[in-house]
Amino acid sequence: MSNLFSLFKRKRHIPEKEAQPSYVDSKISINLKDNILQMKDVFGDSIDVKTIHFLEAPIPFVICYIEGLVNKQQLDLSMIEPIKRWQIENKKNGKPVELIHQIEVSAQIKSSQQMDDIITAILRGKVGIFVDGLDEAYTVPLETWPSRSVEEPVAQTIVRGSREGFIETLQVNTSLIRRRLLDPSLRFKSFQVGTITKTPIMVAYLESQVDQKVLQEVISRVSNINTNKIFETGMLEELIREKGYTPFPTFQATERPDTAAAALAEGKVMIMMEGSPFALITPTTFISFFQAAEDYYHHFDVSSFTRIIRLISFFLSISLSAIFIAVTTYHHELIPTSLLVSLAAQREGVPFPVFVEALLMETMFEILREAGIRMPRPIGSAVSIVGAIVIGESAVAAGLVSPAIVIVVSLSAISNFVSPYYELSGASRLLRFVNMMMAASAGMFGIIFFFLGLVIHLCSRTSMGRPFLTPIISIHPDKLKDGIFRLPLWWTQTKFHKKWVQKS
Amino acid sequence: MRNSMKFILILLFVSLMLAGCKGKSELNEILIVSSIGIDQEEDETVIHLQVVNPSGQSTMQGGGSGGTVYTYTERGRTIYEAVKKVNNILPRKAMFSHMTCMVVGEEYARESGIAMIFDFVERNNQIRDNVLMLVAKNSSAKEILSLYTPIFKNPAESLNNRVEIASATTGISEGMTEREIINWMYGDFRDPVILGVELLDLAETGNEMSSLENINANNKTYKITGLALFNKDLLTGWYDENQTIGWAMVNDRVKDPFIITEECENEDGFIGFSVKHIKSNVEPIIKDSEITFQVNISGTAVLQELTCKMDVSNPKKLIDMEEQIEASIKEDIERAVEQAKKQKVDVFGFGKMVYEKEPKKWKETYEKEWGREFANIKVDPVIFIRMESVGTRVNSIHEKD
Amino acid sequence: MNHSISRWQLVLLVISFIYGSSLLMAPGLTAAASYRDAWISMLLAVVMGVLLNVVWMMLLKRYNYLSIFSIVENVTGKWIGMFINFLIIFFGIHLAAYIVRNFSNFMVINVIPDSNEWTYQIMIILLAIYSCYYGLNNIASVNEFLLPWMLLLFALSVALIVNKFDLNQLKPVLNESFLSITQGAYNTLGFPFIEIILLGAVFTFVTQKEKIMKSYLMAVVFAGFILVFTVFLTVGTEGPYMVTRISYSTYAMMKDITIIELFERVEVVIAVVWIFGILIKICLCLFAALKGLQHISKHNNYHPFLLPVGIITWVMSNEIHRNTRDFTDFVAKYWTLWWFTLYVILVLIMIIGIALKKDKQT
Repeated sequence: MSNLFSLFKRKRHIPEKEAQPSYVDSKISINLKDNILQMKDVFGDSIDVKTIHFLEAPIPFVICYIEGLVNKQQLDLSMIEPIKRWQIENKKNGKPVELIHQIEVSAQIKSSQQMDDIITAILRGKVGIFVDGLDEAYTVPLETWPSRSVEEPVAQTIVRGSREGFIETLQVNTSLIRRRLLDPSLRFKSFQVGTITKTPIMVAYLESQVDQKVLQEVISRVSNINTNKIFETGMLEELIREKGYTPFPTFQATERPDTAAAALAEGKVMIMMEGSPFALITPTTFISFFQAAEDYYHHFDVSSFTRIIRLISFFLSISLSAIFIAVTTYHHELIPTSLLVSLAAQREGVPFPVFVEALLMETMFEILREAGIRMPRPIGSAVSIVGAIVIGESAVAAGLVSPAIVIVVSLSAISNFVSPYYELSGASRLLRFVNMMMAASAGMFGIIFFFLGLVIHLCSRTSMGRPFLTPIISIHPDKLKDGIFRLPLWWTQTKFHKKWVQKS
Repeated sequence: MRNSMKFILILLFVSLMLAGCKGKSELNEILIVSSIGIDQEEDETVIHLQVVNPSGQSTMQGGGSGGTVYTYTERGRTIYEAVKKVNNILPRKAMFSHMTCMVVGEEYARESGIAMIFDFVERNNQIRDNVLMLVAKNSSAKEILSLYTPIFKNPAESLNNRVEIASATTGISEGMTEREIINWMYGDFRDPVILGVELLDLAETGNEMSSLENINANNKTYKITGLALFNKDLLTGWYDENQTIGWAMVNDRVKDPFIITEECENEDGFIGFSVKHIKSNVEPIIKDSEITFQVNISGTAVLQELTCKMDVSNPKKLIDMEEQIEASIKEDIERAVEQAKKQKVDVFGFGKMVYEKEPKKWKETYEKEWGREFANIKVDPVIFIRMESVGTRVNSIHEKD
Repeated sequence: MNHSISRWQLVLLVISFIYGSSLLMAPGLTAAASYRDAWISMLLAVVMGVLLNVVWMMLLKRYNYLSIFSIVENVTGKWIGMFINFLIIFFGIHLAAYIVRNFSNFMVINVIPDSNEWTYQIMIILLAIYSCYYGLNNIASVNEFLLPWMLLLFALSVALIVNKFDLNQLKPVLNESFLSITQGAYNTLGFPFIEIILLGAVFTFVTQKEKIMKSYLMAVVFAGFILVFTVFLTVGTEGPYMVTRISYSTYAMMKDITIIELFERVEVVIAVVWIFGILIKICLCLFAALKGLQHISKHNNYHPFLLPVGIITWVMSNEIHRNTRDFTDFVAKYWTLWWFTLYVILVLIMIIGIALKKDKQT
């Protein structure tokens, strides 16, 4: 029995303590040779770590960097050449510290006595320089690495609006945000996560707008992450979300700088990560998954309309097949007579119960969808042909399913993808199957119970201490203006406007 | 606590899955009953279940097989017993929630009385309260339910539709529903009326699919006729169509235009009107022992047909016509009341009106004696019909004759 | 477990509590005694219910809206207090059991006769426990989220049925004897207007306590008028004779909605509204009982009691009455007296407390 219970225990992922590397506490030695040995010890003979020895120079020094992360041209022009020139001019008169002053770079050169710091900096693409006779080493920021150029976001495409999307490089992303928010109170705070990956993470917020409580919560959660590797904001999301299970996404992940900037201006907090083009926005509300950036670029009436369409299609994707099952197996009286007769005619000769039929079609669709995403693009068309044949005519012709269920499943499948945030469609897919089971076991009232349970669940969720259903429960008339409907901007922005006027 | 909570939730969920699923029936496990007929045979009740054959009604390509509907017949001491027995011959489980029509044979209505029907119909959770009730005039319910109807594949649908179309002659566009009749009989102490349906004179029977191929549509059909009058639950007589209009007027049930045809004054030929926007209310006037019911009716009429010489461009003529229509309606009402008095059935709910007006007096004097009192009441129709227009032409071609 | 709620949420909770399960029951209960004048009975019941609640709230106000369990314990001491608190807890669970039974009756009589009532009983109790698990704030949030939609649905179905309404069904007005009108009012006074004293365990969690009494009474009046309107409409549409005979007349009324071919049999809509109200009511009853148990056991939360209370509710709902008529008979005849007893006991305790000047102690 206790074994059974342990199935439901929340397993905290605690990374094993790793053996501390030898260099952690070691200091930079005055003797250059010692440092060289130490470096060799740390990096081994990995070929991408370049150590350039200038041991014959009047003041011997060593440059260390990782190939591919450093701009070599600049390294030659602004570091090695000035130092060489200076060495030649001053022969043996110069002091070792002055050597560092010859480096001509715009960013700040940092120094440290800890070997640990220097190695981390080198790993991040800085150039380390050890000078004989100094008990500290220097790192010069000359990093550059191959990165994608700013392109149109793939996951969140729009018709009207900015075509820029975040990329995997943090600096580019911060610049994209900064260019949209010229407010001086925009802050970026840096954190590092992962004992192995040492991934840089950035928390962004607008000091003048942000809710300090939320900010503190985010910072404390981010700095308490305990993991050894992290590669995407999706992993980050799972590590810092609230306790308790929920199928719903807990953060708004966006690829779009304009959405992110708008969220920051509303006082939300954004978390970005090196290596991921998705930024997380928090605190999140349920309704924000139905609000696209584009809503604000179109007419307010059109946008309100599309928002309602999104809500309806979310509802449909969860419940359409369930309602069909309930109505055709329990509540025949709800169907108009003539429709009932033609549905019954379609079902003649179909061997399965409606529930199995629907399950079959839904599963088939899920398989095709997954295959369509994973398949190499040239084979993609094959999937769609097979899909059309399997899901469409032939399943009906073979007498496996009735034509009506094909329509129902395809509609619920399509409405699944209407939300501007892809994460939500995962939740609605899972919930759809639960709902179908409820409908098959208790009819319409199973569906009602399912939705009541869902509402109870949603009401219990919080995001960074704020209720997940914020504008709908604990009503603030001001926030309702931009919820299910999008009222014109000159209405919704009054509060912001007042604040802004007061400040200036 | 948290863990055991989850564990128990999952256990209960699984048990629900097992406990549920009862009471479900797939679409291909049910038989859609579209109408029910009730007849009397010796001492027993006979029911006819008309069920829909989905594949026969299918509009899908390839079409279906077999007839569009089938009628199953079984007998028993009560309706429910007959329903129980009919399960022996049904191929699937009967489902009553789409039953829209109930036809009672005249013999059953005269001898057993319709009261025996209602308890089963009401108590059943599937049958709707607003099932349309009809009485088969001069025939059994079986004969009505044994016809294939042209145009409509489902005869019950055809019957429902006919009631509305027939309002041009009966004035009643919404037939009597089962709930209404119960309310009249037991809630409002008035006698019920039910629309009748009558077979047309048949040259050949219509109970075969092949009969639908015959172009002569009159061969295989029935028509809606006037009201059947009930004394409590026993059928006692019939109204003709004009009387039915009179009844509908008094009860304010005329919703759609109906047609009146009158002979021309002083000339050969006829005039036809369509009368619409009828509104009526009844005002009981109780003086001493005499009760008069003033029936106020207003409405508009449109000229539809004229086969005699008459100058309808003259406004005075229109006023004459109005009077003519008023007289016709008045006659309808008086005839309807007359027959009700003769049969001693208060089908107009006059008793209820008296009760509404003078509840105390009703309880003291009238309630017990209403059967006798009813014969002495007077009905005073006050009718106001306005000729609205003469249609799309002003002068008639017959003026040139 | 977050228990704090705002005053607005309290108002909505009260509305749900009152209209909740009475929506389907009120017409039948009142019309059984006062026939055509059922709506006058209902009106009388609202007036009397409001008066009783005014007294109740004024007393509670003297205690600064302390939890009813603390008041009882402060006034009567530990042992007697515990006994009376158990009584309140019993009433809470008993009421929950009745509503659960009422609900499953409805499902089995009207909707899916072949199904097992246990399914529905377990489902609704599970949902209630699930919501109680998260605390009062969750109950109030769920209510706040859904109640406006429910009222909208109700209004919509009323708008669709109004063309079947016939004023003549209600005539003659005031014809029934005064006695039978009061009888009709008596039938529906306990259910729901006295039952609501269970909310005595809730007021202490309201964050803004200033105008709590006014808001509360407004909510009672508003929900009361929904019921009066429902009775009025149902009797006018179905006719008093049918209303007295149909087990769930509001539901039966909605069966008649026919707007073109497509919108037939939409009575399931009113069932949704009703089930939602029932869920909130069960949640509040269980919450009151759980809070009482927590108070007596001095435990720091009520989670240990969730499941036992749920199971007791389920068992009681099945075992108290033999069949549905026995159940309905008890509700119509003794329910008001049953709850009035508790009301009187609690009011007396509070008056004694004020006399002994124990009201300002805490």
